[in-house]
Amino acid sequence: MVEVLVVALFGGLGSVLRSLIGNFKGYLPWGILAANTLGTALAAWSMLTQPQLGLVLVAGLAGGLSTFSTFVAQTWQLLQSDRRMAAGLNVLLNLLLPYTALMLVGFSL
Amino acid sequence: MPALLIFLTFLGGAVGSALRFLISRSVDDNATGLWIVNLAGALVLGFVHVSSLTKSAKTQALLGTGFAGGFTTVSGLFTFAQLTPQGSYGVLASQIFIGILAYWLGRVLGGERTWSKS
Repeated sequence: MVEVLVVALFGGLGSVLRSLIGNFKGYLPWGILAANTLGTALAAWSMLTQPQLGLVLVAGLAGGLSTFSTFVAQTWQLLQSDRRMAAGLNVLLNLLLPYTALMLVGFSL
Repeated sequence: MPALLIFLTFLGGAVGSALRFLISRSVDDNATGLWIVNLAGALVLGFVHVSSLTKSAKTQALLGTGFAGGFTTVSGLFTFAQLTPQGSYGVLASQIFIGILAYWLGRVLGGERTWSKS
């Protein structure tokens, strides 16, 4: 029970952080791209070096910071406004940058 | 951003994150759990974005940015894609395609009837 509350607290904090970062938008929704990249780097880093803080950092902070639903919604909105190039680039970068972050953190098996 | 909207985002994100944690803990492999969580969250967000029940900035913050945003995740998927054979990068890429369909389905369920230009 305590661990669920810890995840909730840090997930809430991560979500507030994401909503602030998410305001940065231009040609692409850069803010969410940054939140997803940062969240993935944080999750990978804590799995490697801070296993005892896994709940707090991976399920809580990184989970709340990164998002799938908003990323998909923004890609849909780009498609709907006929910005196919931007939509494709948004998908590509949201795969490529978190992946690169994983590798930079040293997460390879 | 007004303090109330920040608080509602926190509240929704806290509930969404706790629920995601409980679901991913209750299934055998994390990658499958998060896959289901992400599709469900995309559907919820589509609904919240168009439904007349969730128009106010307060419900958007609580249920959209907070709950649907905090419930779904990309960080876990990437780390598990790296860890488990079930969570390969192919699965991750296919999830994006299916996720867009789930979001669209959520919009239709929320009352959207036409593919309108915004």
